[in-house]
Amino acid sequence: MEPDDLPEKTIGGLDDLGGMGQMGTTVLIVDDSKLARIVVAKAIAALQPGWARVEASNADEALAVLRDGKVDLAILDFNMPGRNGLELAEQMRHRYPDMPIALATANVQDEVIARARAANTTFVSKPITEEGIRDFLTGAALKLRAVHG
Amino acid sequence: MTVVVENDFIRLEGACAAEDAETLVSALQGAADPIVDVSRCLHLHGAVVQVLLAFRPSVRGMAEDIFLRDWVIPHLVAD
Amino acid sequence: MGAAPMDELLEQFLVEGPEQVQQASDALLALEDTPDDAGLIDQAFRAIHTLKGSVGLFDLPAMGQVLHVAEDLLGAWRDGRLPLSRPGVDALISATAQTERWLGALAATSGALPADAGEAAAHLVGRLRRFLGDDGPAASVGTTLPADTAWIEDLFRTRGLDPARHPTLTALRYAPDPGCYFRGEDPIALVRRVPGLVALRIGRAGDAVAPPDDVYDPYACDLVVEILSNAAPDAVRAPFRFMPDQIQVVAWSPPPAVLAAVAPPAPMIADTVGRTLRVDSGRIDALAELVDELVVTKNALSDLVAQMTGPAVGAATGGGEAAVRSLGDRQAALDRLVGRLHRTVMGIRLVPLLPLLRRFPRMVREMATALGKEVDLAVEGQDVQVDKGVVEGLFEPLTHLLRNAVDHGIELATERTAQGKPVRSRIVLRARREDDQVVIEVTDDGRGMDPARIRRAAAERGLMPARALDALPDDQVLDLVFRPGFSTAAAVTDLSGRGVGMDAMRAAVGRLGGSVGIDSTPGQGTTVRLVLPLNLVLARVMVVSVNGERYGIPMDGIVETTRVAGDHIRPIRAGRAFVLRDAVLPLLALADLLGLQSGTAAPSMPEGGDARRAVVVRVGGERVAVEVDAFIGRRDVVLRPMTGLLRAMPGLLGTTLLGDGQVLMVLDVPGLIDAIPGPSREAES
Repeated sequence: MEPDDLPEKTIGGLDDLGGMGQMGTTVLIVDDSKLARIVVAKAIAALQPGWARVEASNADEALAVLRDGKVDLAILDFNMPGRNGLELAEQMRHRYPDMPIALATANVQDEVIARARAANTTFVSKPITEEGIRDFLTGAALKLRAVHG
Repeated sequence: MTVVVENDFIRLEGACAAEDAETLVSALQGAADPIVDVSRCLHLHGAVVQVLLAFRPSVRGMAEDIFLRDWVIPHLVAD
Repeated sequence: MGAAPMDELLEQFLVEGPEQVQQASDALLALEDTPDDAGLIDQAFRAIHTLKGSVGLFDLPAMGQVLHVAEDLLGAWRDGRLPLSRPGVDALISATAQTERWLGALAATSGALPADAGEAAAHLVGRLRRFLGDDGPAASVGTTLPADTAWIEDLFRTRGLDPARHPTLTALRYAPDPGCYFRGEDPIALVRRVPGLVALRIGRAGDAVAPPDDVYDPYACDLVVEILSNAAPDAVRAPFRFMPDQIQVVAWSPPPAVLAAVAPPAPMIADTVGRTLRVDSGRIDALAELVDELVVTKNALSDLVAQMTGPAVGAATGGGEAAVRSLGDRQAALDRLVGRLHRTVMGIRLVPLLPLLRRFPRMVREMATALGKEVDLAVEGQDVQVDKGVVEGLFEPLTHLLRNAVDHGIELATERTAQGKPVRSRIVLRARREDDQVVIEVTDDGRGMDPARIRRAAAERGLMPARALDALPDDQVLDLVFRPGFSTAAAVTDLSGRGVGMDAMRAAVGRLGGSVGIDSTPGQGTTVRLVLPLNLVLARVMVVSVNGERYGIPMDGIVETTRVAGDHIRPIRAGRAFVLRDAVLPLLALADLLGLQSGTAAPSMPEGGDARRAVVVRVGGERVAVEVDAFIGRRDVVLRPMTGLLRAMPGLLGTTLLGDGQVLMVLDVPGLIDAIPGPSREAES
């Protein structure tokens, strides 16, 4: 797409990565419905109260947030007007090969699954629940610890 | 704590999650002839299972969880 | 699936089926000439789709599997997801031809497919799948097949499965990618969700080298999972919806050449720890007997010392007193040593129940499979330890109980569903220590035992007069199944066999010094409870005398001993009481409790004037004093539990041999007190 738009991730900006549930971890929530974003935020807050959350309502906003360089993992709604979550994920993947990304969707077709797997993204079912995103968050925490030592 | 080290036993208790795999690796590497007690096991995450497969310690006890007891643990030992 | 009476649905199916097959094969044949005709593809698709739907009404897995794949392929062609291919049409034509033959077989046998249907289906399915691109690259027929199924056959054989019992299976191979944990995936959790597990193998990908020294990364997933299931491929595939690229699913049939291997022995799992020494059990038994004799001899010595220090003797020995005192010290030391020795030796005889318990899950699984039932066996109390002799005697009774439960207690799935019960039944085999006993329970959630039916059966067998039967409360009616009359074949039919062999089982448990009881709720389940002594436990008892006879009271139950001046004893209603420090305690006489003559009228008083001696015990949370004639002393004794007729007597814990060869009866004082009718032990405050 437009690789130059995606900023270099500033490693220096991340603080205190020791242990699980590390402070200073930021989750990006992308969904055109504010209600849906609230639900996701609540679920994340319950599982990882120490993590910060930033929101975006479409792909462009999401990219803007990413430009600030403080996002560690992301949950993207699949069904958005304009660029959908999958397309956004594919775009993000080019720039952030290690970022844990999840696609939230109620209904997955096989073709979507194939593309999502190619982009190394996880699925979480909508409606979002704590139970539903628990595994994704655990895996992401594991990954972030592994990547940053 | 779901990985508890007691004398020569490494006890896996309750639902062992991915993070426990690292603790288990250290415990196994630290023990001369480790014995893993699974009698209070309810679940073993894939990462924990692969550690057991890699190190092949002696396993004792019958897991509380029937799936682990009948399908997973016997073949960790026998194969 | 065998010959079943032709029913209406099947009849209709056998009318419509051939028509559908005809339509499909017509369309496919025409496609060979005009492969671009979308209408023909659609026609074939719809015919196969309808057929598949109809087949789904019957239990014809082989046919269903073939039609399902055929539909998938035609669907892919129809939607333009895959290009049509000539060999593919060819394969479909073979499939319809086979379907036609099968329909003929169904008609001829009223609903049965030929024995080789599974194998034929597997072959067709494999062939058709290639055109769906399921087996990876290459449309080459046959060359990839043997390599693909080698692991399946290996797993089938290694697990000792019987081809007759598993004519078709779904095989799944799951190779998660190394980064899967970081996406939150747990391969083990996924495998739990695979239905119809028949075999499971979890291994490591690549080089299986133990990495004790290298830095091992547990988060780079290196697992490979291989599964055989008796569920349909779609059901097996379902948990892996989100990672279809990591699985390989094959419908497979064991070739007849795979001989059913002898089931491998149950894997040996180490339950002994640390350094062990194999010792002949006869030596331990001999050691235990020697220690028993040592205890008796030691007690004889204590008696001797007591006699030598008794008031009648003391004055007579003069200077010998010092020697006697020193003798007393030595005897006390010997006391302690023998106690420790006894405990240690008995500890050797204590073995864990685990090796015994561990045999049962597989046994229950096999029993259940043979009977077409789905049963889970949960086992609790694997840490419990019991005397070696007891463990050895338990295998037969427990096997019998479990077989009874699976065979007669647990209902078939259909019956359970009709009652709103979960399809999978649950039997719990639970062991626990209670004081000096081991309690083992077998609880099932099956149909329970109906007291009414048992009463009827008992009446018919003339086991008890009808009046007596009616008067029996329900929980005692269940106990009737232990009577010999219930173990006959005739009784088997009436009670659905639940009583079979129960009398022999009770006898076997009795020989171990234990007892058996039953609890049941019709419709909900049954619990059979075995209570066994830990056996040969060294008990500390206080020896007392009443009416010139000696009795033992376990020190465990004694709160304290005390003397009461005769004039401090108050009459209360029909009894007596006195004040001990700040509380009023009822005072009973052991002679009365034992039904002996002297009662509360002035008993003989060996010394100290009017003082009465009493042992204070706890009964139901309250303290009660029990008067005795004298305290003789404390002893460590080997308590032999009661067997036979005396077993049911309240108030008697056991007997032991005293130093002078006499038998000491050890009393259960709270039990004796509980057995008193009426309010005579109430104390007024």
